Amino acid sequence: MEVLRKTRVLEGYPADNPPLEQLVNSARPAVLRGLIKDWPLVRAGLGSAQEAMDYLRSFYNGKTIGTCVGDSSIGGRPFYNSDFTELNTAHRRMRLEEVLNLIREHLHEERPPTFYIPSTTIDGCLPGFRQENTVSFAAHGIEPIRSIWIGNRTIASCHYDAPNNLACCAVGRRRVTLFPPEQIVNLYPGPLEPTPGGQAVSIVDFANPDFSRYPRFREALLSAQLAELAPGDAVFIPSMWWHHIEALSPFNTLVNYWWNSAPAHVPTPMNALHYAMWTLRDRPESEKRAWKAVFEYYVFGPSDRAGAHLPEQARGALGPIDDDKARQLRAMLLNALNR
Amino acid sequence: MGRHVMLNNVTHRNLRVITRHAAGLGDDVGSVLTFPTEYGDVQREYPIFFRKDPATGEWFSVAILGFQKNENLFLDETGWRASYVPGVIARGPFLIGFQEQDVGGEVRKNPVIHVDMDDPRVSETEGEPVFLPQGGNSRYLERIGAILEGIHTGIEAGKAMFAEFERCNLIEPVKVEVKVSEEEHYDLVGLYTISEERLRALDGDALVRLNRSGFLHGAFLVLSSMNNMKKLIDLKQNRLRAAARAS
Repeated sequence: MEVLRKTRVLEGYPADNPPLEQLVNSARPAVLRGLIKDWPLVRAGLGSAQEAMDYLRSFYNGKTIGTCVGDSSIGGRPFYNSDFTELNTAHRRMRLEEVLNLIREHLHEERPPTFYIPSTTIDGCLPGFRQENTVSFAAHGIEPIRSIWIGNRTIASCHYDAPNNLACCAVGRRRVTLFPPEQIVNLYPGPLEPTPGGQAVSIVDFANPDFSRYPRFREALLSAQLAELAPGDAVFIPSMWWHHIEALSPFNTLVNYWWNSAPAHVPTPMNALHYAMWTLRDRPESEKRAWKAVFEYYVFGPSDRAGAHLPEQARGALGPIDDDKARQLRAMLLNALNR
Repeated sequence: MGRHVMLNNVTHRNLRVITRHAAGLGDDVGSVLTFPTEYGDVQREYPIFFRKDPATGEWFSVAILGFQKNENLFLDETGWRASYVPGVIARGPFLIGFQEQDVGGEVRKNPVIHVDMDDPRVSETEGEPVFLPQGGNSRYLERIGAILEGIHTGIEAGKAMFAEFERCNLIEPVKVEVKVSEEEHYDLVGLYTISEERLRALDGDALVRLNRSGFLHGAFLVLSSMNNMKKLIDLKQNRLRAAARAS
């Protein structure tokens, strides 16, 4: 598998002033070279894996952390068993030093067992860490979810997330393969649940793609792009872009920030997707076409179209959905669904 | 322990629960656990006492329903004759369970409803449907959810309350000797209550603190619930007279 296109690179932005508006408005991925190069964690990691581990441990509050554990046969890729009924890793709650010790024990092995802390809230286990290692969001009026990812060589199979994502490579090298949202059809998404990391993942093995079973994956590769991250670099992954992330070094740590463009009273569209699969998908083709037109009119077209020809006080859900309207819709749906 | 399973609307789509009260349905009990969160309702019908778990030393409250282990004087062939049925009975075959969920790497314990499938109130032919025809929650299930939540918060409130009562040294053992007739009398053992004398003697900071904790009110509810002993004795005597007439 070869991806020739490289993600665009932006240089010279400091961690206290990331170009967030510009990134979100562009809706395109970008590497921010050296964004977090001055973080103490990055400097420790450039010294050695041990220094980075010691630095992380110095903030640890002793709370157990959800950890993904797999044997060496999974090749660092949390995924499914052969019939997709179970995950190929176990989920355990472990202490940070336990995880770090296990990673260190197998640090020099070619094919180590997998030890992986996938996205744990930083303030939940490493209080104080952010004071020295942070990307500034406050100036943009954004309160992101701040998570840390710690592990040995791992692969986060290709998936999308609804929020915007700024992923900062602090320790180790990472390779991120990115696909635009509309490539979903060529990426062969797996079950909606269970999932290795909360989102449906592409079931194509990127390390060894089986093009006879997944021929459209060739097409996906045509629009793929590659972001190669060294310690200190960050990548901006726009909302809904598919990303496949390989942690390449014996010990790796990533810090990421997720933020939503919608206000808190707007719930995840995944609810709408589940509801739509349930209520629409298996109807006759003619009805589906009709509903497609209806959705195009009310949802996917210009936001103000369906209400534009009505007096403001008559618009209801056809006008902008504020907190009050969100409450009314929630009550209506709860009532409608409880049958 | 019965067969406790997590309630869900697929496996238990046809589940019904018998909500009438009868001896064979687990209602023939002489006392029932209660919680400070329902003292207000309970004290209007039943005497409230405390017991101590001999193994753990933990305090809990009980509402007294009768003078023998399986004697519920509020239960007759027409059902449970009281304006309020304690939550532990009203919850039927349901229990609170906790499901551990990882949210951002941290464990969150989400309360979920479990059902004891060995409970005699569990049915598929009789009683209240738990789920609506399409799998939604019935009003009955929503009420059960509220009762279970009440029990859950009641357990926590009970712990806090007993800590306050112990701090104020308000708990004292009580010997309850009930004479229902010349030849019949019962001793209820292992019961504790609020020491009225010590409660009256509380002053200053201790009284303010107990009041602010909200449990001063609870202490008085326990004391006023004692009036129900008289009702309990009346019920017992009615029963004895009815039995005498029948024989």
